[in-house]
Amino acid sequence: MRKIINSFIYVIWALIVLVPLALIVLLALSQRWAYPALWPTQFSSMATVLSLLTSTEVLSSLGASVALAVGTIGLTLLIAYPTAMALTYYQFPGKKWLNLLIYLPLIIPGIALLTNIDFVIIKLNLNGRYFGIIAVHSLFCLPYAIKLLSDNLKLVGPQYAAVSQNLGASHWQTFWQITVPLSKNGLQGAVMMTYIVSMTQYLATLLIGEGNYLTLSVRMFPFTQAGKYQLAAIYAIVFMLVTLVPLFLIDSWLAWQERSREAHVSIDRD
Amino acid sequence: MYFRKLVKVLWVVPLLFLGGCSANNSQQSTKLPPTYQSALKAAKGQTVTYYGFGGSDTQNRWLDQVVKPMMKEKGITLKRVPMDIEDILSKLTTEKEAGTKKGHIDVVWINGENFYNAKKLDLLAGPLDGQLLPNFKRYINASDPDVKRDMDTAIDKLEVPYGNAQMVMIGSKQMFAGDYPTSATKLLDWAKKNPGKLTYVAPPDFTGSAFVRNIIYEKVGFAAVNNAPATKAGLYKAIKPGLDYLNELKPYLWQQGKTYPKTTAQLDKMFADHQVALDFSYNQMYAATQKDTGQFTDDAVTFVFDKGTIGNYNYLAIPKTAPDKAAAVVLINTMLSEKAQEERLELKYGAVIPPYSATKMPTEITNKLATSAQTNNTVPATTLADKRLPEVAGKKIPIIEQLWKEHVLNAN
Repeated sequence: MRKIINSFIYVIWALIVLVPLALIVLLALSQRWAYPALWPTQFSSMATVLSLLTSTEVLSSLGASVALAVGTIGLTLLIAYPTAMALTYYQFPGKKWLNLLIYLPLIIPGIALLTNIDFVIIKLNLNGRYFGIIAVHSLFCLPYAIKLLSDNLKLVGPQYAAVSQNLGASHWQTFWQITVPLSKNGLQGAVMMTYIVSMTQYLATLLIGEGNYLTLSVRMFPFTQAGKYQLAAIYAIVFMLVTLVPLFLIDSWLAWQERSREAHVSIDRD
Repeated sequence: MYFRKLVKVLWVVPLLFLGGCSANNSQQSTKLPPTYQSALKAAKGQTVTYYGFGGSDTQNRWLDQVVKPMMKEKGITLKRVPMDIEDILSKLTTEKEAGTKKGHIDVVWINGENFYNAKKLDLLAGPLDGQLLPNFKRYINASDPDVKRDMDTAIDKLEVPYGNAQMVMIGSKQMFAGDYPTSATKLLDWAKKNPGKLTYVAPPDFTGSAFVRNIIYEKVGFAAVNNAPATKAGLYKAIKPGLDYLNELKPYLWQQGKTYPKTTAQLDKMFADHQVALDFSYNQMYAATQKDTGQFTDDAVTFVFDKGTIGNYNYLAIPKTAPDKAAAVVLINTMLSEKAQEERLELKYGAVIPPYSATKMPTEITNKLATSAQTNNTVPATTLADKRLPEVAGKKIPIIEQLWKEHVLNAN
């Protein structure tokens, strides 16, 4: 009985996740798909799809997307990690408020927030610059990163760090060798979430970037609006690949590390 | 707890970073160059940034494959940034509020309502005219109505037309037996004899809305709509004969006019399948581009109403904060050149008709349009120009659409 229920749940899951994915793939391949036909009435040849891929700057915009995402991850962690530590381990006045303020970038409507950020960024003379864009991307990534990191730090607790201090380790030693390794799961979540959020920023990249960083989302968005679904779907597939592949790589690298450490531990015990 | 100090330090680092970059907006805004020759000279080696709607792959292709190499020959790099005009205007407004003299946008694609807003907010540089743009002088009459007013907003040399759109009807040769309904009266007669074989896309779709306005023009004339106040009551009084006509036509439409296609793609499909006899488009060469991609056949014949159809232009403008106005002037002049416009007539570039005045149209382009008229059954340029009617003020369009919904769609 349980098996039946389980497989039923799997089927539902597969339908919910895979059917939209399959639809995107079909859209990318179909040249003509007229309502109400159930199946595309005319498929593009692989050569057409490939030429669309190369002629529409999909690949050149990839570099811009990744460059911004990597910088955003760095800046976000630099701000989010100490913030998460402060929110978990320290008591200070206004802590409750800070806890709420962190979510503001997600609560205020995007366009209102962005126009005003744009104003500030222009005043700071950061518009069109790499640092200006990753600063704005980071603003939208911080709520996720801080929440993931502080939840994880809470789980680990401050005791290990205290023990390390009692044994005579310096602040830096404690930080790098005890606190950071113990919060690895939180870091992994924060890095992945930041990567995805940065990759999907559209208006922020366009407004603050002054057209200097034409990322995948910037190029894809107008096509979805204009009902050019084939082009938009091709962009979407590339988008999914560059988002999923690094996530998969990070994940398997961490798993590999875990395994090799376990091997070490068992050798030590012998 | 350990590390109190470090946490404090890390908190301060990003703040220092931000503080370090103080405002520095002391640059001077540049002026429009005095002549085209000086613009050419000043623009050499520069990069010009074009901002416009990025969702039209044919227009992107035209800029990348035709305009970009032409600019390269003049030593100028063209950078195309896809951005919606609403976002461009909000960007320009923010720049203005921040006191920026030198922004990043050199040329924008603009028209209608958005031009009205940009002009009101004083965002655009001028004067752009024949004095500065040789190709404007060569091919466009400054007295053309579409050069003077854009959807009833006075242009005052703040934008320049660069593309031409006009409502056309596309009829099935077989279903109309060669006798096309070139007036509202003929259309109604045909519908009564052939019930269920006509329909139009429901407004507020761009094309459907234009068809409704075109019918209103047929019944009351452009002047009556243009002179009516932009209020619901005022417009209703002015356009009532048009709405009455649409109601008279309604029972003879597809599905007795109870439902309408929602998108032009849907109507295109119904037309291609001979479910209905008539299709509409804002691109005069639409039948040709559709034939090229295999959607339509030779059965599709383009025609216009005897009393004319609504036309409008796409325009280019230079923002006041454009960093390189000389290169912007060169770009606009290049986009208006005969070579660029002739290429743009290719089906792969969207087959957009030049904004040239009928009397100044180069013979090559006239011939090209005439050839297309023969091979693709489109309408020759001179006929289109003769039968062109102006657009009403942008703010009246949503009111007319609302009146259609209340008095035609929801009428019993």
